[in-house]
Amino acid sequence: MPGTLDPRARGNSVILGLLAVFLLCTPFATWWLSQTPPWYLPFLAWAVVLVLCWLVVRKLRPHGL
Amino acid sequence: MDFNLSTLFFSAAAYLLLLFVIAYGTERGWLPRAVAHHPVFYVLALGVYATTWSFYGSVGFAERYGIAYLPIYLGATIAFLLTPVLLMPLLRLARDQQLTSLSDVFAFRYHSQAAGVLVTLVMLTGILPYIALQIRAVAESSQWLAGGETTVHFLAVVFCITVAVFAIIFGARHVTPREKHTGLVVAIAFESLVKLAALLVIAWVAMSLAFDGPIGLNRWLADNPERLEAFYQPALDGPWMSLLFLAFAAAFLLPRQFHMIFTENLKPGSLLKASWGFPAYLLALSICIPPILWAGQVLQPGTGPEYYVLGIAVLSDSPLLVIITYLGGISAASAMIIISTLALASMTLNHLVLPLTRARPRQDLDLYATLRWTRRALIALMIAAGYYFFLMLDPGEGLVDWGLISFLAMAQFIPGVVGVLWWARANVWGFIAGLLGGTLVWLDALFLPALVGTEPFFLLGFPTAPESPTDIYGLATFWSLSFNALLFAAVSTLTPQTGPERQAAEACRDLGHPMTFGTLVADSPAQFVVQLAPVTGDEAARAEVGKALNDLGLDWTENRPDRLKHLRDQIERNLSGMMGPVLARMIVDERLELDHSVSPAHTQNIRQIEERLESSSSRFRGLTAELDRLRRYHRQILEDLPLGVITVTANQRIVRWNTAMQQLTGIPAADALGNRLEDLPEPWGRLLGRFIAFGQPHAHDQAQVPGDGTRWLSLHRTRIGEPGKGRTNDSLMLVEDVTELRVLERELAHSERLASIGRLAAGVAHEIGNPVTGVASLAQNLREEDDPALVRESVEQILEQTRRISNIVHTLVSYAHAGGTEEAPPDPVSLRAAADEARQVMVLSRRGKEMEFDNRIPEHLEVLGDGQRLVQVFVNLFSNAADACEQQGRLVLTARERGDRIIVRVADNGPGIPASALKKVLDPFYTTKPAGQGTGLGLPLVYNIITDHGGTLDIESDVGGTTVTLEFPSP
Repeated sequence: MPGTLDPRARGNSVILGLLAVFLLCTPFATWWLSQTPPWYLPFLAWAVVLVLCWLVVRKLRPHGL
Repeated sequence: MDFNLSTLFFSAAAYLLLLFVIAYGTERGWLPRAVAHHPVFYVLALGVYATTWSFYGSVGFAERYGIAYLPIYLGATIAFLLTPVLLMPLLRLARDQQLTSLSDVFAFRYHSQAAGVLVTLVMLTGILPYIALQIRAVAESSQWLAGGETTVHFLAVVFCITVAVFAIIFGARHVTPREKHTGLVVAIAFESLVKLAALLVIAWVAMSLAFDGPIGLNRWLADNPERLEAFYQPALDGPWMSLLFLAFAAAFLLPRQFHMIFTENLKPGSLLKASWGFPAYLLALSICIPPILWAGQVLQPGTGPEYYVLGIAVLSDSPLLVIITYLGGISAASAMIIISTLALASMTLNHLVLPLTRARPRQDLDLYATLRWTRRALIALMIAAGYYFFLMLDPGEGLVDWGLISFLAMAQFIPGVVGVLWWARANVWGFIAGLLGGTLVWLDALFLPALVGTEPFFLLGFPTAPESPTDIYGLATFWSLSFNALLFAAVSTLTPQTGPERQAAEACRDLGHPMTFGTLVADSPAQFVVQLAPVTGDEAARAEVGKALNDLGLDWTENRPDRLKHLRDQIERNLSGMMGPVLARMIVDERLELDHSVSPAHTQNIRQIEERLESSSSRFRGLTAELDRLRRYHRQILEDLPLGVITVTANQRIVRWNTAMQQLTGIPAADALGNRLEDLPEPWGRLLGRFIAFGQPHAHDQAQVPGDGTRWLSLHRTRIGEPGKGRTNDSLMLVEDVTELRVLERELAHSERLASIGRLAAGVAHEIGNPVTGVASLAQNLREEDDPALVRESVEQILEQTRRISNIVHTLVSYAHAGGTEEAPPDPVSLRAAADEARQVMVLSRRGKEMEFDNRIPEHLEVLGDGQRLVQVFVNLFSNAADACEQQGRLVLTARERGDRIIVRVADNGPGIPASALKKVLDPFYTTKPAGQGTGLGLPLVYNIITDHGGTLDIESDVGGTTVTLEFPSP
């Protein structure tokens, strides 16, 4: 796989992506949608995922570019 | 509240003008460069993703499908969360190979002009509904605000003309898509802020008007739980998953997204910030939709749900808010059209117009102006085509429905992207088959039904007719991508992959430049200009070669073949940024030819191969990594050798110049590599060139090094072998600095000379004593002598004796002073004369006087060398013979020519050298004499002197005497 960042960075981003897929594309998504949570709750969860993303990338430097 | 149409028009025009001023001012430096290049502008500029679909259409979509409006933003979020593994590799590929569009990427990866053409056609067809959506949104919103005075079509035409003018002004000022549009990025960032601000304000106003604030909204939802259920329920039944996937693909494959993410990227670090920054922007944008939806349902502003935004602004009774909101919509539409047409114009020019019409820039045309005007014409044409689609598509469908048609078209490129990033085996046949298959399903299921009203074709229940209209998106997505992926995988597996395709796949994955093999026909950058000019024009050819030289840090005098190959590759990359990779490759292959009939030795590609290995080494695994370590280890051995190592090709190009050579010559490897030997500075070029021409495997030479005096060098050479193929014409040279050894030898020779003089001291004293005694006697007689004749005779005898003394002293002094520190250039030396001079020195000693000398060396025999050193040779040989013979010793000297050699024999009639000693007589400090009588350096010194003269020494001895044979090369 072509990479410009260390393997750990790539691994962390894949984990984040899988987390997002889990929240949105699995039966778990069907479950939380059927619970009719407060309308702003999905946005809060979205914000939490973005904070995790910020934590993953904040120390990264693209190599060789 | 109605607005005058002219008010709306002028406010829109003024806003667009403001955007232009921002862009222009940024590029003129009104905004400091550090500020303009800040990542925040890049991240905000990605907000061009949010068009009128987001500004108006999302509310309408949420009204029908509830929270299912959110996947359009969540899918994009997933794509950006995967930035390190998805977007960053694409960015690096685009930067490395100067690829400015998705068509460029696929044309490069699959090494196919057809791939570029097909991608461009699909992209053009797929994006037109999206452009039509923007035109419709602006026209309908304008019509509603103007109170329905004017037809939508007229408004659409006015908008199309206005935005076309600005699109051409904004985007087609630069010559090539590879040039960054910093001003445009800042302007689009400003536009994103306007959109977001307008929506946030409208959401707040909506909550205030309908619910008295956010708390009121929550209370209203609590009192009306069916509203929340209606918000979530459609997502359970609707196209949630397919929308997620479509948005994931669109986030980086839409032309405007690709352009902003990759082509306009100035710093890769900005993309890392965008991985969370851009989704945060989308979050802020999308969180406004539910409050606006519910407020609109409560307030009923007199518009359809898609224009609740405008309706609520009107209800606020604030004309300013209405204008701002209206401009938010204008902003969203115009940014999308400007960036999309900019990107598509370049794509169409590079992959449709130029290749298909086989239009080539001619020498008499200004290439850059031609490209600029062609792109402007294409922008106008595309906007016109968008207007046509606006007329043809059903206005009864939602704005989002038109947008989804485009999203599914973009999703057809996902399998191809897999082949770019991860699957090296994918080939052009699989890519084209998959893309055609998926596109056909897309055309059948979505595009044609929307355009001309056909029914999607369901054959044998496959795919089956959807139960509800909304299911069509899910079905169309599933079946089109299934066909696409299946054909892509199957055809790629069953068909072969070409060599260039394999190289391109490796380049995409290894992110290194594909290697070019063959010998360049051109041998200078000036010749590159001459060869390119017939195609690009003189000015453009010179500009492109100059730019490539500048990119590589080379100059116009460069003539090293490996650097010129790099220059060729860089020119291709730069042309690729201007006119696409396919056309760039065609021009470079045709005009900057490589001669493949002459297969260069591996040595010529060493530097290229090593650079490639160095750039890829971090990605080696397993056995490959071990081999690379072994390569480095062996290379380090050469670098660490205390001998200078030079490798030259058959045509004397230097391909190895190790650290010892750098230290010896003061020439860095970077200055030596690739050059010919003769191009090296003096004295090295001449010295090494002479040695190569000499043809012999060994040589001794000296070099006058500026600032360092004379260095004595020992040179060795061999031809390099290639396993299984024998010796090549490439050479390996070793250069050994023997200066210190030579100085030591000289000192040793001088010491031996002085030592031999010491041994002569007693004899010399006796020799000088005799004539001194004679002079004293004659002087005493003169005191008493009166006879003038006798006085005269005595005086003559005194003078004779003093001459004798003078000769002895002169001989001794000249022998002592011979072999000074500076070597004289070789001169013809008479062997007979040298032997005679040596005899004169020898007869000063008692034993030497008793020896019988028979010098039979012919007068004419001469050798090239140092006369005094040769005298020293004979002195040492005579001295050894005299010491060995004791009484009635006889020394016979003979010499003859044999071919190109001169053989000199010095034979005595002494007792001979014992066999045990014979093997050691040439060893330094070995002597059979008692301590203090011999240094053991005489014969070793003789041996060194003979060797320095290119000769050999041989000693034969038996009980009848010893014969020393000296062999010299003839002069």
